[in-house]
Order: sequence, then C-alpha cells, then structure tokens
Amino acid sequence: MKTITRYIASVFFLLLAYSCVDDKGNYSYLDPSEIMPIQIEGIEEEMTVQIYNKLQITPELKNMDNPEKYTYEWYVMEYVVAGKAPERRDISNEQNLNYEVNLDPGLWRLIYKVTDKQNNVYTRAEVKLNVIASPVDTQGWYILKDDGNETDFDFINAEGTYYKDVLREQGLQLPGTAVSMEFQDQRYYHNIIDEHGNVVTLVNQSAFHILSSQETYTINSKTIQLFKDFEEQFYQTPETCKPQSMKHNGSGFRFFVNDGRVYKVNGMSANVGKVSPVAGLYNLYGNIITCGYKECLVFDLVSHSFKLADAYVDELLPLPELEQNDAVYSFENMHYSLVCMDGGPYGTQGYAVMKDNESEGGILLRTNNRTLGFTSLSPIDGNSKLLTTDLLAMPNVADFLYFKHGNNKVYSYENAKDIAPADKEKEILTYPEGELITSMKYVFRKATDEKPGINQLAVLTTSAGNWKLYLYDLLGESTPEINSEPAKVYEGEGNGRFLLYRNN
Amino acid sequence: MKKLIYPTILASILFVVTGCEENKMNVYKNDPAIYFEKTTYGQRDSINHTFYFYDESITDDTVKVIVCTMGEPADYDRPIKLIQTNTGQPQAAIAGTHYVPFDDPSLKNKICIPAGQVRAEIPIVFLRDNSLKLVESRLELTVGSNEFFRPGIDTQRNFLVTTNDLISKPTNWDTSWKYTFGSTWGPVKMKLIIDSTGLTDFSQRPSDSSYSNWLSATARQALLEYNAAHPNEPLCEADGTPVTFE
Repeated sequence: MKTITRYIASVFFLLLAYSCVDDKGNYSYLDPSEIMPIQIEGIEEEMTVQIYNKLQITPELKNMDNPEKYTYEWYVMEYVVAGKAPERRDISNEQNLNYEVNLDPGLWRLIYKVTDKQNNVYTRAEVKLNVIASPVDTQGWYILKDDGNETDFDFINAEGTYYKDVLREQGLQLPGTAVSMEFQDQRYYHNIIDEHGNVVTLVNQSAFHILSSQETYTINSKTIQLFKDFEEQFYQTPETCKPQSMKHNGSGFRFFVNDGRVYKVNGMSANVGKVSPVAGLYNLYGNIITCGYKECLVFDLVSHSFKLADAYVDELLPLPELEQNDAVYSFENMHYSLVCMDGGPYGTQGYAVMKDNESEGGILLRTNNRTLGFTSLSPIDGNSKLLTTDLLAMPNVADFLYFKHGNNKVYSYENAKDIAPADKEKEILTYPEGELITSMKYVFRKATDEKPGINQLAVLTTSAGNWKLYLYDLLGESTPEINSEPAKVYEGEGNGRFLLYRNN
Repeated sequence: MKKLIYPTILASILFVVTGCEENKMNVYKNDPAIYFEKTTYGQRDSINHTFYFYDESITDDTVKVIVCTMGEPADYDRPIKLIQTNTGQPQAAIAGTHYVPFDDPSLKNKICIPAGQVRAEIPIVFLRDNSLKLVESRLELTVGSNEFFRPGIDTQRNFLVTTNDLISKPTNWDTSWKYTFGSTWGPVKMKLIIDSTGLTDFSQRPSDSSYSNWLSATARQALLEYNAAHPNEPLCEADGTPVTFE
C-alpha cells in the first residue's frame, strides 16, 4: 500500500511541477485583412428614399478576389423601437441592391453584410435610411404662404426641385393667413384608435406644426396627414384662437404661444402630444427663444419682464440676473419695451432688441441658447435703425445679426464693443419698392466629404400675391458680409410669410 | 495509514447504500386561508370613500375591497367571514345606517370567493346618511374563521374603510397627487382643485404627464386669479393657512 501511495504522490507532484511551466500556446495570429480582405465602400451613411421607389445601391467591394466566394445580405431593422427588440427584415441576397421600397415611413437601419462562405467571417456596412411617404419630408426650404384666406406651404428640396401647394394636395389648407411653421424631427406623440377600437399611442413621430391666424395643424411629416388641429392640441381649448409661435428643444420639449399664453409639452415623459398651460398672470410677446435644455425665454408684456417657461414646471420662472462688467442686470419690471426678439434653431443663439422707455437708445440682449437667460447686454445707439425693426435673423454662433428696416431693406448689425455705433449697422440689401420682406433665416451646414457646406442668408419677400426666396452666400462664418448677388432665387405663388429650413 | 483507509471505504459503502433509498417528499396539505390584498400601487391597507362628489340623489355607493386566498382553489363558491372590529367605538360605522350589513340578502352571495378563483372584490355598500356631512364614519374590518378559511397573513388581516360626505384627503395624496398639486392638503385647496379642473376621481394619478401638468397649471391659475381678485385676502384654509401648491 505504501508503494501505491508513493506512486500516486509522485504523479501529483509531477503534474504540479508541470503546471508551473510557462505555456507558450499554440495560437497563430493572422492579419484581419487576410481573413476578410473585402472592404465595403461607396455607400452613403444616410439616405432618403420615397416609399415604393427603387432603392439602388452598388457598393464598391475593395480587394474582391472572387465574388462567388461570398454570400451577400441586405436587411433592414427599425431605427428606433419602443417596448420590443428591433426585427430583422431581409430584402436582398444580391451583391448590388435593387429594391422597391416597401417599408413603413420612418427611420430604418439598412445593413449590408458580405460573408466568406468558407470561414463565416463577414464585414458589414450600415445606412441610416429615411423612408418617406411624401417627397416633402426631407431637407430643403419650406415657404409658408397664404392667399389671404387659406394657408399652405411650398417646398424646395436640396436639389432645387419645387413642390407647390403641398397641403392643398391633401385637402389640408388652414383657414386664415400664415403665421409660422416648425419642424419637430422626433419625440412627437399622438393617440390613434386602431382597427380593434384600442387606443394606441404613436411614439417618436416627426411632425410639422403649422400656425395660421385662425388654426393650428400638427401634421405627420412622413405622410402629410393631420395629427391634430387647434382644438385637439389642448386638454381644454382656449376661448381665443390666436396662434403666435411654436418652437421645440432637442428632446421634444415643445412650447406653443397662443393669445399671449404659453403652453408646453414635456417630451421626455409619457404624453399624447397635447399641450398644458403654464400658469401665471401674464400676457406674452408672441415670439419666444428656446434655451437651456427644456426651457424657453418669454417676455411678459404686463410686467415688462423676461421669464422662463420650463417644460417641467407649471408656472413661469424668474430669469436669472446677468452679471457683466461688475454690474448686475435684472430682467424684472424693466424700463424697456421689447421691439423684437427671435432665436435660431435649438442649440444656436437668440437676440432681443429693447427700446428704453425713459431715454433715447436701447439695449441688445443676447442668449446662446444653451444658457438659461441672457449672456450679454449691449447698448444700442438712439439713432440705430435696429430699434424700429420687426424681423431678425442671426448666425448660429457669431455675434452679429441681420434685421429688416422699412419694408424692403436688410441691414447687418455687428455687436462688437470696439465698433463705433455708426459703423455697427450697414445696409446690405434693398429690394424694389412694393416687395415686402416677410421672413429671414440664416442657414449653416458644415461641409462633409459627401455634402458641400452651406453658409447663407435667406430672405423671403412677397409682392402682388407672389413670393420670392433669395439665397445669399456669406463671405465668412464670423462676418455679416454677404455676396449681394444671390446664389439662388426661387419664386412661387402666394403671399410668402414664413421661412423654414430643414437640415435633416 | 491502514487505520484510515478501512473507515473511509466503510463510509463510502454506507453512502452508496443509503443513496439508493427512495426520497420521500413532504406532501402539501391544503389549509385555505384568507387575507386582504396589499400592493405597492394598488390596494394598500385602507380605502377612503366620500359621497361629496356625487349628486344629492345618490344615496348609496359601493367600495370594493380585494381579498386573496392561500391554498388551492375550489370548484364551488366559498363564503368568507368579515367582522367589524370597532363596533361601539367613536365614529364607528353602524350596520344598516352607514353600510349595508354583510348578511343582507342582497350581499350574502357576494361576500365569497367564487368557484375556481383565489381572489375576489368584496362589495362594501355605503349608505349616504346625513351624519356623514358632519363626521367621517369608520369601518374597521378583519377576516374571521369559518368552515372554508382561516385568517391568512398576520399583517394583512385587518382593513379600514372610511366614508363621509365631506371633502376628504385622497388616500394616495402623499404618494401620488403631491407630485401634481404639491404636498400641502386642505379642504379649501381640494375644493379649488375640484372646481377649477372638474376632477373628481382621485383614485389614480394620470399616466399622461401633460394631462397631469394641465391639472396642476389649471388649479394654480385659479389660485393666482383668486388671489389677484382678492388683494390682501389670499385664499386660506379654515385655520388661516394660505393655500399653496408647494
């Protein structure tokens, strides 16, 4: 027995000793390009296609040795889902895609996968595919217009194709004259009744909010079908229908001013797209500036005070004071009257022009949109034409703005301190008498490998029942100077009142 | 070494032998019991009922108390025994005056666990007595033993149901409605909320956050307008505490 025990002990010892020997391994590492040499190129990151149109993609497969060696898969998955996992839908097994788009309007992931039949290694590429039901659900200019009785819009896409009377095509013209228009790219909610009589909430929809002097429509941007009219926007319809402005922040926080009252939607909580009022004894200026994350800046004409409307709070909040050059400025009970205020898209900046009630001159307030309240206050000379304007346009970052003077002139205004008052404003555009400037927008898009950049001032005019859209190139990103020869001019029928540029 | 090896072998043989013996499981013995349901977001340990929101023509109203059983379901209706534990005490509900007695022919067949069920909503029918306009009536209940059930979970054997014809604080105010109307509560504030919003069902806070915001903003607006119309006399509770939505 002793001998057996010794043998067992020896075996254990040998195993123990051997386990300490450094394991050199028997792996052989290979270059990934040896295993899968194929590289997929020539596919755009984002594409927009209209439902039932042909989607044709011919990918460039670099280092292709033998096409027979691989399998090819094209499939789509919902881009955003709620309460379930995205489902895969195979659409082709060909090397090149030639597919008649039969998908619900909305965002999809289009995935292209090339797999080596022998070792099952694959490479893939993904496209953010925007399926639209209507050709107007894409980048471009929207011209909100009316004929004196009904409101409609025209659309010019990025390629310059013109679509006329988009709402008329659907029988959705709004009564009244055109006021403003907003595009909400995500987080719009709407309840529908399905075929079984159940209430179903559509989530994460994109929508156009269109305001006329007598109505407000929220329209599904994918289908150009009505989501809500004015009455359906509210839990309790206001006595007076006087839509003034509608704006939204990035996460679906939306603000609607009607008859001097502001209403809101908290897009981050469960909702059905209806707005709730913000309590207070106030009467607001019609336009607002989105700021912060879930707030907007409003001006109360009753107390001559700027306030914050917060999508999380049911009453107006005081605006933080501004500390600048050892002085503290309050925005409560101001001795100024608001001349004009407006802001760029969410995440850019806004300005308020105010006239001093007690003396000549005024002030220009600036907010950078990511800050709650104003970030600077600058004096405006008493002779400045800025103090009589009713229309502003401003770049995304640089500290200058464009304003309308009279009916047909555009001025630039540089807000830098070291410029003499007389040199701050310059007349840059004059249109023929009778051509009324109705809307101005600054548009900026950074150049990418796929798309050229945009740095333009757009001016909408109207005369004799027809509109004209002028696009001017700016000479730089931090200067208001423009090439006064328009890069493009479009024109159409109707009184153009409001301009919206959609960049996505 | 030998001394160690033999006992080890013996023990191993013993384990092998006993390992072959059939394992006798404990068999469940049905012992039905009954208790009041208590959940985080549903029924808690009490229900507050009020006739205040109803038209004067309404003379009775039913509150449903959920009871659950332990044990196997049966293929026949099983009556349960509900006992009032505060009889004779101040504010105690009086059978026949404030509520329909449990042995009333109209209720007798409803105070039971129906066949095949393990849970039931037991109706408590409150009567709108004039005394409810002055003072709240309390019905303290417990589950008793009968031939079908014994009392179940110790901590869920008692339940309180109250009724009145006054404005009363909703049971879920401090867990739910305070996020809409603020944590303070008083009869005057409650009346303001009801009058301005028209809301009378406070059993559940709405899931639509915008509707909840509408309720809040509408009530706040009513308070602001009242106070603006009554300078130096802001809306107050009976004890002089100003109404706020904080």
